[in-house]
Amino acid sequence: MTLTLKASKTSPPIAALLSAEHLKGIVDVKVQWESNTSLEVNSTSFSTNASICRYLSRVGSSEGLYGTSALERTEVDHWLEFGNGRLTCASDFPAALEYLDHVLGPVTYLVGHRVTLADFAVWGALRGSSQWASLMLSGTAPVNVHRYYDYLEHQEKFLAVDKMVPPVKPADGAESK
Amino acid sequence: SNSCPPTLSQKRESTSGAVIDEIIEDVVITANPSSPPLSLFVLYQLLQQQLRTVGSMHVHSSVTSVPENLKVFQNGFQSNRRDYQLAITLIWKNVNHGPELMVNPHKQSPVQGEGNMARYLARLLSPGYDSVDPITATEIDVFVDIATNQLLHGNSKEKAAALRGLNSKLGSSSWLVGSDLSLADIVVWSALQQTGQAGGAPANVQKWIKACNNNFAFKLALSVMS
Repeated sequence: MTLTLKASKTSPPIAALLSAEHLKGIVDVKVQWESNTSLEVNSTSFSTNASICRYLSRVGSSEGLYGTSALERTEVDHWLEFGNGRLTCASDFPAALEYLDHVLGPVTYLVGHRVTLADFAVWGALRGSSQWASLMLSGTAPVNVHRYYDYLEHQEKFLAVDKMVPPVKPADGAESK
Repeated sequence: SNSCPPTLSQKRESTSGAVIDEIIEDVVITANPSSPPLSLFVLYQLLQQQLRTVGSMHVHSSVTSVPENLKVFQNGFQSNRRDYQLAITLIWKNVNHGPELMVNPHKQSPVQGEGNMARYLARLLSPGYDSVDPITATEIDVFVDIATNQLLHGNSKEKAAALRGLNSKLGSSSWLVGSDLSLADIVVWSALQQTGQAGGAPANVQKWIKACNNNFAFKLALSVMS
């Protein structure tokens, strides 16, 4: 059965797109660009990045994208909330980024030793953030987050999604170094 | 009613009466006394039915004092820790972005937010809330997100919109997801009670709140409310 992920053109659900990309061959998802994001399953409709990620990863649970233990799953939930919440809130962004930089110091992935929905949510939020684009452009992005962002960006599936989404305009006043 | 919600408390099967899951878990929850995560107390009661569970409470030095209603789990560890499968330690502290949940300090940084704390505790119940079908589990998660993002932390417009959505859903159903109490009801109820939105809620929501209040598992949480 093919699922159709309707993806918003103006506000692309990057985490959901990453989930679909990582589940290729396991869960059949067709991406359709529309004005609003939604995934319809039977008589239910999921419209948030987080809920779409959760649903798809549960259907394709063999891939372990939601974590492999109760604790890992809850850590993923923490990052789904953070990525779709604090990291997308303009006023909270600087503090959220500082916290993220601290957490990323000793690790490669946010949860466990492999990519999960947590990374989709956080990387997706950064990719869609004009504040992040501005920091990258001016060369002042925090070290650990920068490393993490670049590392994931170069992975094949992240590259594929990166190409689907237009670049974000840096926040006003950003200067190129 | 005293019925246990099927999605949260199906009894573990054991062959000889011996406990087959030797879970030794220590869960530490750090919460701000100005916003007690009421869902913790509901889930605690549900967990007590499933596992040998004990709770203890501490007050961090950053807090001068806590009111009597927050002095829960006073019995604490009165016997051997090994007698219990699950120990929950609650620390009242001036924490930001809380409550915080820690299970394994060597393998995690703190998990933040009441929704996520509740999800973890619900995963300890058998079957856990997300071991049902993907649609039901995700529908529950949608309501947990509504509870935290809109009801607890949203602006007045977002809160009002969420209440209208709840009222609409509860017009055609007694519970938020499926045909019985689930984690969705517990966390949404907690958010409404904490933010004082219960009293002025629309009719269907009021009826549902009453049903929650009458459920045995909400007794401790109700006693924590000031």
